[in-house]
Amino acid sequence: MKTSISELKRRSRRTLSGNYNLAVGGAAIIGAILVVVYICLVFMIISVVIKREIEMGPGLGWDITTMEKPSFYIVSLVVGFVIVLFISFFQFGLFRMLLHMTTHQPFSLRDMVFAFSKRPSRFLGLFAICYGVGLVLSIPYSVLRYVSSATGHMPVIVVLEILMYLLLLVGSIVFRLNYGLAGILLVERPEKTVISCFRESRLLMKKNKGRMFYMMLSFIGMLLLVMGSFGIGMLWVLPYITETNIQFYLDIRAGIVLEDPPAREPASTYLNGKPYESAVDD
Amino acid sequence: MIMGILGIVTTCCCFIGVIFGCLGTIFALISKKGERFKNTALAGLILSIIALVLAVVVGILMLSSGAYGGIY
Repeated sequence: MKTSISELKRRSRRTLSGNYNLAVGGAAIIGAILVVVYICLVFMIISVVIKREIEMGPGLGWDITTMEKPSFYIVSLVVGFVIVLFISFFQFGLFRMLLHMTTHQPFSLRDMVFAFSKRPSRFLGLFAICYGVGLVLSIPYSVLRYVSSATGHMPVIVVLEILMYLLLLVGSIVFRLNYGLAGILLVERPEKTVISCFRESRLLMKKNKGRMFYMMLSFIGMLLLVMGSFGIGMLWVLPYITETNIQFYLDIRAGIVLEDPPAREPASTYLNGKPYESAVDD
Repeated sequence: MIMGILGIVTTCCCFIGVIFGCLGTIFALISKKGERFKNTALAGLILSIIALVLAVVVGILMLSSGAYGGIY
């Protein structure tokens, strides 16, 4: 029987209870990077605007339509990639720390740099695939947004823009529902290849997508409260959401263990009646 | 509970009341380990919600009365 999402949340709260100082410490590292990045970006924008004001005259520094667009977009794309990569690596570390916390293995704040020290190329590969999918999904929307601003926001283009945004949203959710566990799988067993993690995640998510979607929706209220607290609440909510994801993953794995094990083989090696490894490879 | 009390006290400073109210609500929700809330957590939740509502109402009143620079 599948465990309800409210029960998974209760388990995650119990796991985190007494360990919040470390979990919040981990989230604070990610938050600190974000703050530093935002401060750097603000200073960069201010310095560019001041430079443009001096070159082009007062009041023209903020006019982004006069910027060299291709170079502007390429620079923002590269900077965005590096920032998200850095944050994702620390998020893998948070996954590692909370996974060890849940499975009663030794854990410390040092786990936060786990993805940098243990097979970073695999984590880089996983991140690059996820980022690439996001980029491909956002191409139609980005093109239409550019066309919309160039044609003075024609109604037809604006409607298409909204449709493409919905497509981006639906595509992202479908990707997350199929491959959302790939990160946890790689963190748990870094010796696995990236492709096998994606394949295994798709297998595990079969018949569990509805639950995952419901779990994602159930955090909307808390994320609104985080917005109300100007992001401070994220220090507590991020470990809670991550821990609930881990509980969800462990619950699916436990379900597989209990599913019709043949008499001779150990129960933990079977998935849908097939040996687990071969089911994953299929 | 402390966040809830701070939230109510700082209601007049609109945004600070909202921050404390939101944080108090988050803390109360994530402290629930069993089926029911602990007494202090429940008190904190109620106080935080009151603080949030009051802060929003005060904020709206301040905006409508032009307390923020007379724009409205």
